[in-house]
Amino acid sequence: MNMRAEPMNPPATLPTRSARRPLWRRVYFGVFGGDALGFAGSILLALLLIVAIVGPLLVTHDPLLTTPKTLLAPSAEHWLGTDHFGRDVFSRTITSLRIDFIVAGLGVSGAVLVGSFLGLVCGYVGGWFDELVMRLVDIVQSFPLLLIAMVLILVMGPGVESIIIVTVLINIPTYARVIRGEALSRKTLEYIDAARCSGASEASILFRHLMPNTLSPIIVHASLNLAAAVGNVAALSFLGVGIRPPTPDLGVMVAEGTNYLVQGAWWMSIGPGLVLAATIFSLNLVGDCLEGRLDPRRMEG
Amino acid sequence: MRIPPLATYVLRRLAISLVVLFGVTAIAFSMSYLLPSDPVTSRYPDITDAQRAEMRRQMGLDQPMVVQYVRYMESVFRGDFGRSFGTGNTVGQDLAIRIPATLELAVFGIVFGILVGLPMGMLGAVYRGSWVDHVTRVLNLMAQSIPAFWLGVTLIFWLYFQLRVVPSPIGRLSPLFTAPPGITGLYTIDAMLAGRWDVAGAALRQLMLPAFVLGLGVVSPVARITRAAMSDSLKEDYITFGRALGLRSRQLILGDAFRGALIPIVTTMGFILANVLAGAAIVETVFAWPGLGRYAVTAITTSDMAPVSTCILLIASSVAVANLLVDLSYAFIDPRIRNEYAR
Repeated sequence: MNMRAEPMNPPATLPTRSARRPLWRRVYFGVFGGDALGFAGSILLALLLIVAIVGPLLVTHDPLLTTPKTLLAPSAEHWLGTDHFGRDVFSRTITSLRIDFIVAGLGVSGAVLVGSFLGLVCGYVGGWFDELVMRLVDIVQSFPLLLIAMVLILVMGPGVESIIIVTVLINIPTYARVIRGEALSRKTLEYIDAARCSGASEASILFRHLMPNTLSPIIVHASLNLAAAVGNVAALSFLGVGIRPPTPDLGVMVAEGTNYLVQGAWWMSIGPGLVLAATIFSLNLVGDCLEGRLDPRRMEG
Repeated sequence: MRIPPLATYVLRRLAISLVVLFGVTAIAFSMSYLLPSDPVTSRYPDITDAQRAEMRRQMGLDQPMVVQYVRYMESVFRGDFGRSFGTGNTVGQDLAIRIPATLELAVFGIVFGILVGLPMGMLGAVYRGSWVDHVTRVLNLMAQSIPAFWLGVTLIFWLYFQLRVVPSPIGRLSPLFTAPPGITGLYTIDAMLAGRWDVAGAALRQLMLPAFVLGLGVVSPVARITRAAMSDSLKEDYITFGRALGLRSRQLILGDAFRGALIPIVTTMGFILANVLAGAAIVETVFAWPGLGRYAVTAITTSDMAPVSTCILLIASSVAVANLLVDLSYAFIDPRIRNEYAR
């Protein structure tokens, strides 16, 4: 992939042209390959991440503080209005974003680690172990995962930790399956034989030679998966088994807002929902762009 | 005697399905076993410890897990799924009402998703790299990104509370109408069969919004796979040959290339069904739709064991069966897959 990208960058002997080009153009064409959608998605995602990280500095009110000023419409004082406990919706939305990013991020990271490891071993070792794990994956993938997630969370007791663990569990099969395929198609390639001939141990072949080459499908899946995970965490919270009030969460906020729509308090659910949709959208755009950039099958198109 | 290759394939695929279904029952059973509630306590909240122990013995809850599993399987094969303490009915009775509700929602949702997603994917493939492709790609990603529960709530607020253009989201039929006589269980179809066009219209108006929200989740996977499969099949030699012969583009794209792309598209139907049934849990909750998903969600949150395991069992086995049918169907469609097993 690097080989392909190289001709696009001028050689080092001609520094003047590339230096004159503005940084954003170099990033836009060099990193994103001129994919405007991926570029826009990355900027949106970066903004949301910054908001999530520096969130505590941005909040205008204590997100947990209840006040008598309930169900106020958006104003200069409360940018997104207040909820039924008089809490500031804007501050709660920003705090939620932070929590939801952390929960989904940790969940997907866990799934990537465990799932890729399983997939690598299955693809490389094969045999009965592979057969067993893949049938398990078949079984798990035919389940309504949202319902399974609900049951598991209730079994473990509702809480942030349970949601993270459940996110890991329900996403492991995806990675196991994808990485198994990658390992399977690569294990007969010459560079693996070369490593073996030069005396590399099986473990070393697996982790030093095979694994780095399965990274790009992992990255593509992880970014698309993160989008789905953010949505799932919010959906679980909406259904009442995810993050529990009073901890702010975008799904909980939409659910709470639903009960006050009759009274016309649209601001309780619209703002948090839009932020949620924007987060998922930006992650999907980035994932889609990465898929195009890293998947050789799509690069030619 | 030489076994014909197709039979080998079918047998092998059936065997895999049996293994999967067995695992499905095991997991569905352990799910209900794991739920943090005691069915005796939840049904009879105020009994003494001695009475509770006696009840547990009568219900077989003091037996080891394996024995309980075998009993569970026996009753499943007898068609006895237990009783819901939430509704007081047997799970079978509850499901008989709720399955058609979900079926109606799912059928309309999937049809909508395919009607929108298929042309979107085809446009993306035919005009690959042009603005048409980019527009369909953005629409696609947007459909995938809007959380169903939020969209549902927002549409109810806007179209019902504000504009009053849709009926109130209180289930399958406004209380002003009586349900049509049950033939298929789908209110819209039954009402039409009974000649009650007013009832059919009312049912359709209730159905419109939830089916749209559910179907939007189908658009993206259908469009994605259609675009990828059509892009591949448009590059096939037989398309180039067709173009060289001077066949009309419309015939080549809609007829030949689409037929070539059909198998990967059909393959994703099992996945889409799983998606829809999971999405139904959310959409039915938002729209107070009396279906399987809402039943399952209520049962889970109230630790109602029998409905939980039955719903999970039912959804997982229908997905497993759908995957089986998909695999079998393309063995019949595509000679290449059939011949793989000829060796």
